[in-house]
Amino acid sequence: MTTPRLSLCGVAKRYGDLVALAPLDLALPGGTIHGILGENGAGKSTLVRLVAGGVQADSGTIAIDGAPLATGDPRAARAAGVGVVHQHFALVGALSVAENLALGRPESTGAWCAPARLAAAARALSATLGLDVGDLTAPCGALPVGGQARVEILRALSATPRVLLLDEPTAVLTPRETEELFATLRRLRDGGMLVLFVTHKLEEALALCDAVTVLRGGKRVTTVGATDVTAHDLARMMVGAGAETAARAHPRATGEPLALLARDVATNAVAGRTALAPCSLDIGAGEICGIAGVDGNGQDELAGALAGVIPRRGTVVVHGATLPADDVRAAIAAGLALVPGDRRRDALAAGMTVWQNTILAAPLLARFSGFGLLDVARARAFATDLVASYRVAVPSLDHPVGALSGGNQQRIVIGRALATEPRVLIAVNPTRGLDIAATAHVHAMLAATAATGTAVLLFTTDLDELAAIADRSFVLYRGRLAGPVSPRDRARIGALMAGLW
Amino acid sequence: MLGPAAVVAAALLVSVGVLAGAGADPLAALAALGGGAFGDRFALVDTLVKSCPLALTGLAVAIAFRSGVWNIGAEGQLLAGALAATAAAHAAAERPLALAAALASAVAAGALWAGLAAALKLRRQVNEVIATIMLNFIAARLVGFAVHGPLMETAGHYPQSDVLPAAAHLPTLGGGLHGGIALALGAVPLVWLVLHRTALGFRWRAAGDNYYATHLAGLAPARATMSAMLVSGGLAGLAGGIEVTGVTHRLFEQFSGGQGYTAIAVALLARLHPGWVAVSALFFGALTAGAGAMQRSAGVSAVFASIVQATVILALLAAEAPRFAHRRGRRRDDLAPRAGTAA
Repeated sequence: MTTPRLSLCGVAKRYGDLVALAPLDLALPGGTIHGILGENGAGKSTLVRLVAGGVQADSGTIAIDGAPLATGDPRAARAAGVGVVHQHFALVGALSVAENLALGRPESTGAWCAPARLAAAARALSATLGLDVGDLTAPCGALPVGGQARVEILRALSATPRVLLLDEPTAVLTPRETEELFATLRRLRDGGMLVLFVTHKLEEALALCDAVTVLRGGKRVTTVGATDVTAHDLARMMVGAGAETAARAHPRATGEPLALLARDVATNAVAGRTALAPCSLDIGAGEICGIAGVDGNGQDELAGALAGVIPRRGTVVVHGATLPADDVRAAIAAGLALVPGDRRRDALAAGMTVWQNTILAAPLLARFSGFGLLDVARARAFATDLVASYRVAVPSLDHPVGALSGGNQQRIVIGRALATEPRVLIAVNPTRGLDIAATAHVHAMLAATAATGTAVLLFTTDLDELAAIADRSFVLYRGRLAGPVSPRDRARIGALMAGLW
Repeated sequence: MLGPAAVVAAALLVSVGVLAGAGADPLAALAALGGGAFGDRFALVDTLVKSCPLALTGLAVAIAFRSGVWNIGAEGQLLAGALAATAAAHAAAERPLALAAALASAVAAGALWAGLAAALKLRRQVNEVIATIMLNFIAARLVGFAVHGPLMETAGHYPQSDVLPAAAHLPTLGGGLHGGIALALGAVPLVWLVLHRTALGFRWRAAGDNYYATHLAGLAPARATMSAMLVSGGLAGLAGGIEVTGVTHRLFEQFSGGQGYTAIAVALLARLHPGWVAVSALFFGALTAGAGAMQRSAGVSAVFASIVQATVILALLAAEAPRFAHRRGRRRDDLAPRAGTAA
């Protein structure tokens, strides 16, 4: 037997009382794609960070091609041939795409970096690897999240690593881009690379990987060949019990009072934003209306324009009351709640505690203060309830929210939005980065809130999600709204998402 | 990450090295410093008097920094407060509420001075660091103008104001201790209360942590920025008012001696926690009080106290660097391992 490309021997990591990863043994040969599957908090990201040098192992050893690798040292990991695509991108927002791609590469280490040469190198890289990253001179910070993901993937591949780690890379890619990425990864595998693919999308794992390791609660459940197992088996192993995606049992009938009326809502293309062509929408109370589309086609703009976050033209009416443009507070007062697509940037105060973040909303802060004084006891009781009813895993209410996993952060954001008892809920990719159980839970929450008469406008890139819970749907493509279209008509939605009108 | 105690210890160690290098006896110098700060009743009173404005301006800086506004202008706000208090006291002459009028004017002037910087930031996107520093210079020149012009003493010899009317003097608590100490001591729990137990303080901290998320939450972070600066400036202004009504009893150029800048070190050493600001202000107050004694009895220049202060600030910044990196919004990958150790 040959030396494995990557071997882990008893590698473990704890954070205080929390076992992030119980001692794990793993030996993976080169020339394979290995899937790491698990729920949020299962230990996937910890495993990635250990191998990538982001954190130091408490015990155990990691070796690459038999050579031991010091943990906790990203540079050593990189030198040993570990390439990483992080779930949260490590891009320099002010630098252009080409410059970001050149970071840490020979082109950028010389004293003289000719922009033309960087752009040429970036173009060549993009062509070789079959990943289109668009305008190479655009600053990365101005790209939509999907574009940033592509740059990040391209950058990791550019160093031709021996072990490539991808931490949920496909969340923001279109189906076609995902296929292209998979083809690229297969090509790299055939060239002898070991690809570690962290995901919670079962079909993807089975389609792409040669073998998968399932983690649950920081422990390995199993490592199996991808052909020896079904998606159903994997789902059961990940969540422990047979959790099914909640399908919406009773689509709402039409004829409810109009909750949200938007007429000719449009935005300008400023500061890297997509211009929104005039869009009109009517959403009834209790209805879940889906807006499908690939990231960066105007979702943030439409959601922001409706919520009063982005300057807009046109008319927005919530239950008969016309909302002034560019006035978040008026929108909130009228009963409109927004669950932003980027929770870390737009929805949470990372340095504040869990309980403080649960009341970070004007209606809730007002509810838990009187005469300007904060009723800490009542606010904490509220946070305790929210944490319990939305099953947020937190060490304590006084834990900084920034240290929680993405799924737990998202539960807080959605729970908080629903606690304001909104009449219109606008949710942008509310289940992005969430595992099966958490996704099902969020869907159940959205369905339950719709059942109480809240109109839900759901922006999503996930067609399964659309099919599962939307009553009606539209598609955004390059700032234009197409539809309505049945949420279960995947062929038509797919065509609209690709711009085939 | 080093604790504040370790920071102070490291700074003292470096300072001892400097003393030895300059040919002085470090132990004797430190003993003189300690004696001058805490050695007897007079030393202790002196330390408290020196700590009083540092505590108030330290609280002012802490409030602004917690709210995400880099108010470097406590110095200017203190001077504005002192100037306004002097003018108000002379205008009120011997009327009964002269002291209240002087202190209220000091608070208002300090708030105005900080409010100017906040308005520039909110309306015209002027960086508040630059705005507050520039306003410091303007306030210093205004004081200079006042004591050479409208507020110059009647005798007309020196660029200083007349002694304030007795009705505008802070009552003494005996032994040279003035009533301002009580105000400063009272401000400490009050600021804690506002920061941690009011909706206003919640909005300040939320705006300081994530301005945009606070905006999306409908909590009007721009108003939080403005109110935090008004309160911050008001406290610094009060410090100036207390100095002029309680200690100097008149206004002159170089009135502050940079207390508003030391305040930044006071607040940072206290990690922006109101309770620790009191302790940290006492430390810096003791350094100032002890420096004079050290110069007299150990023959070491009072400049040495400034060296200690500067070393403390540098050591603090070095030790705190990771924390400030957090504030600039690093990825969670960097945050997670330190989460358990964060203050």
